[in-house]
Amino acid sequence: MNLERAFRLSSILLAASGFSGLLLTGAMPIGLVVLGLSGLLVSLAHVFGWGADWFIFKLSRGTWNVLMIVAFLAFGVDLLWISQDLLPAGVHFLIILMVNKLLNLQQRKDFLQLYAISLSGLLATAALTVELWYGAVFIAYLLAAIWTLLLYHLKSEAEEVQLAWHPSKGPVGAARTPGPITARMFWTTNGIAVGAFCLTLTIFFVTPRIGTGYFQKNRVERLRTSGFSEKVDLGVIGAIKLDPTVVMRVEFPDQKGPVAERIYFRGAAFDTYNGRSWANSLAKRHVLGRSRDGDFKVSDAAPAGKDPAGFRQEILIEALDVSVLFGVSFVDSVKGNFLILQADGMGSVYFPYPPTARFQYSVYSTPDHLLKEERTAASMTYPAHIKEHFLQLPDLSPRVAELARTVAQQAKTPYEMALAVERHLQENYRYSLEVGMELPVSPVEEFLFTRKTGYCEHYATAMVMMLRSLGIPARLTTGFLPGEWNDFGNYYTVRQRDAHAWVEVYFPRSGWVTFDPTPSVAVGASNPLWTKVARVVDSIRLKWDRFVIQYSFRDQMAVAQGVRERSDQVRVRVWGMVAATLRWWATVRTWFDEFSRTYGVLLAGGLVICAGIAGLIVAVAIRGRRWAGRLQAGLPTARQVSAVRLYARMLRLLESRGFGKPPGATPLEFARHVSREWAGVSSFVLPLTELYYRVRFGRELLTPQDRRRAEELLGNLLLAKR
Amino acid sequence: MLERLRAFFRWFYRYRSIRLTPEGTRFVLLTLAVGVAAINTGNNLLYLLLAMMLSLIVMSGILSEQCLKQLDIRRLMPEHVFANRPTTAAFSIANRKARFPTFSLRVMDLVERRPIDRDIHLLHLPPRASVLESYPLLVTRRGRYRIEGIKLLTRFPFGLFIKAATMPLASDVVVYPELKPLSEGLVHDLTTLGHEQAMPRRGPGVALYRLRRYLPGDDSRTIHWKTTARQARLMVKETEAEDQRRVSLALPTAVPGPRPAGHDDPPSREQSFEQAVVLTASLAAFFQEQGFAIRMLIGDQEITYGAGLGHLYDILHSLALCQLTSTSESATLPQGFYTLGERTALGELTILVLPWADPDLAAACRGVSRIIQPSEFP
Repeated sequence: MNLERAFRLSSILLAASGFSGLLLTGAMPIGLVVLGLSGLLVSLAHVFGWGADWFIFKLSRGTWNVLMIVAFLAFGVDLLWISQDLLPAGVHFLIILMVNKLLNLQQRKDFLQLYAISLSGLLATAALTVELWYGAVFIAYLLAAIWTLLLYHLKSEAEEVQLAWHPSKGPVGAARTPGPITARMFWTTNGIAVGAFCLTLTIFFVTPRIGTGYFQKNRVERLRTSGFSEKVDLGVIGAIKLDPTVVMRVEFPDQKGPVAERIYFRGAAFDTYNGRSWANSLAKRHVLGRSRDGDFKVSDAAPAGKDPAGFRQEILIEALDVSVLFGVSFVDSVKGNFLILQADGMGSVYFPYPPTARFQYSVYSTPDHLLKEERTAASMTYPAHIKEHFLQLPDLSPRVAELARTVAQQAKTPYEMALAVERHLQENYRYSLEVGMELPVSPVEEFLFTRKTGYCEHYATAMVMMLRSLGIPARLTTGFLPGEWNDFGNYYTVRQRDAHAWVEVYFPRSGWVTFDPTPSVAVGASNPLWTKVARVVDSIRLKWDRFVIQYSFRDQMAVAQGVRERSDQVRVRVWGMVAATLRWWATVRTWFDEFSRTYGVLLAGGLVICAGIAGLIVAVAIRGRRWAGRLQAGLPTARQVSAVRLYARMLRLLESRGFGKPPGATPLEFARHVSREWAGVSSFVLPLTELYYRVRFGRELLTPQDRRRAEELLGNLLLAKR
Repeated sequence: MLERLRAFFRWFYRYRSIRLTPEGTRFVLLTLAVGVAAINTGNNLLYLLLAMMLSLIVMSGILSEQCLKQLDIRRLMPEHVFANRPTTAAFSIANRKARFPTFSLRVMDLVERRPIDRDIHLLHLPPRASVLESYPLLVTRRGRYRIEGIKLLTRFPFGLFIKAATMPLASDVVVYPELKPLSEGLVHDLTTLGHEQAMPRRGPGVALYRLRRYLPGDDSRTIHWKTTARQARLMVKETEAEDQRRVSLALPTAVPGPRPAGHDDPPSREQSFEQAVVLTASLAAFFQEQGFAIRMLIGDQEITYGAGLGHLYDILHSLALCQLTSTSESATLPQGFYTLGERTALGELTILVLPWADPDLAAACRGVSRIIQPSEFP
């Protein structure tokens, strides 16, 4: 492909990559999509000569100017009345500008403007999305940009040379004319692109994140979820139990595989039930204090990072329409790129307002632990505020309390009672999401006595009511189950359908302990290949979010600290080695001193012999290297041998025509002699001799072109008649 | 401290410099704008774009350095250079890199620390390839002409920066004075003078005296083969004895006594002197062509008689380097000038080239064949 065509093609591909970013955001109306694609296709057809010339450059410059004025007015209308936002309106106008330039690529400035438009498109895309496909668009753009800038530069230089070259100077030399795109250039340019990509990543990761985010206008739509507000109607979780949308991805940096224990990502908790809905009467929030490390302390009971049974989690959560933060029960501390966190009386953690974008935070949790004496304690004394809030019962049928007593009649302790109720619900009721659209008057009684089917909320509410009727404080908690474990990325993918409700039972000394009366439900089997692919993609997406979208100053500090710790380890190890060497040296020296005192003469003789042997070895090594050097210098390379063979063939040919090379003549003298005597072959003999000189003595490479040319010259020499 | 830093950077960049092109300026401004946007919004995708633009800048630096590395450049200068006469010099440029080609290379000469564009612009030089690029060299002043080095420029790979490398490749050349054709009147005068003064006879020399038949005992090297072939018998060439066609040229370089009227200002004196040098050089070339043995007096420097091109180049070399030495009143005329007239009496041509009217000097050299002033032949 010649330079001109390659240059035009790469320019269009650059525009196409910028356009594809905007296209994938879905922020463009269909009309503009069609217009942009048409512009790209027509300009591509023009480059390849597919008969699109009739469309290009047919309109006069004036007509284009008028069209642009109209487009600008449309942009104003779009900005003020249709989109009412600068970014979408600007994107629409950008597409029109791009099409204009694509159909008018004539001068250098047209190309430069097209590049600026494509870069603006990529900038707009960066403001409109955080999705994984942006990475692919970015790589395509980088590759196209490298090609385009390189070819633009070569084309400009070639034009300058052509302009400066005067016909009186004769034909333009090969070094001054642009060649076609060769395979070497193709791979070199792609190599440059790969180098630029690696450099981009390096710069990206080391650039200090001093972003303030003051002017950030996030355009990510919040994910609607339910079950985590201050008041929750029974049955709302059922509405999202079929939604596969990913809510969060959770890594356990200290675990190598999935967590062995059953874990729950706790969100909100509720104490008051009115028969149809749950409410949190302890919803008043207080601001959490911050430690020196930047941790927001939720619980003062166990210091973060000290409990060996604790879990550290890195959570990447989507922008939800609730302000609650999730973490494995029970959250001790939270760390993240935020200024304020709040907590309510239930131990739930909140933002002051629902987040506007996907974000990442770390949580340290300590699992619940029931003390042995409380497992066996026949009765317990509860604090007044616990009794006030967590023994509340609505106006329920006495049948509920009776059922509770029946179920727990064999149990001797509150713990056994809780276990009995949990087991009863798990074993005697069927899990189903099909509970009807209408909420019954008393959903708990409906679940316990009539329908006997339900889902987590029904199970959990029923258990709380039954325990409270037995005088055991309990509360309903909502959150998420861990979802699926991703083997490729080592993390849990938590989806909307993993939303769950369970029970927390209070024990005076152990605190709140988790019980889950909902029976396990077998998950329907899906195509294993598709599942694997989906997990790989999801894993890449997590990495993208983790290392690109959410990459922050905190990560940079963590990397710096890691490097420091590693360097400290290395330093300690090196110092250890140095100290060991010094100790060994001191031992040797002591032994040497003693030995020299005893056997002085022997030692001197030994030293002389050792020095002699060492000198001999060094001398042999040096001489050997010299010989090797000489041998290497004297031996011709494979390419030189090829050149010698070609030259020898020429000599044989000439000898057969009566031109034997005298031993005293240099190749050049011989070539001149032959040229003088037989002018017809001078154009073959002289270049062959020059090539021989270049490769044999100039140590230049014999390129495939040179070889072909030499064969051609030898062929001509063979055919020449004297 | 700051001064030390500056000195260090000056030393560090003594062979390299970078300048932004117009496209590069726009690119850097755009990069700054993206950087500001990234910091303001904290959007990592903008940081990614910023990193891409910065990486293009860094890649520009790395690749342009690769382009300028391992280039073996030699300058091929002509042997004789005359002022105001174009001649051809050349650069031999070899790319010694094993894999990486050199793109977009401009080569310039550095004269008095200023780059002089020789219009040498290579688009592509493959690895292990070399090219010979010639260029016209025109020097306007006689004397020593020093090319201090070469400056290599490249805008590769993206045309954002112009990277320049300086190589200390010095070439010194002595530029001979300009040779101008003598006016017809002067040529006539000189020819007449030559005939009057000459006493042709056989002898060793360069100019043809006569052709005659070969006689036994003649030096076989004197056989004139062309005539021998034409006449089908051996003919020998006899040369004219050079000592009979001698000319002494004299050019004073100092102005004795008070300054001559009309030449008070130094630029004017310099100009007159330069004209005299040009005239003397042209006379020397004229007499060399005529086969004269030439002796030259330039100030107190004397070049003894000699003939042939080599001798002419010696004279031109001296003329190229002569300077207007002194204008003080105590300056005396070199001894050689007083004996110029005596030589004339011996049958030689003696010509005094006076940069300006100088009656005292003219009187001192009364016996010379001819006193010429450049102003006589504008």
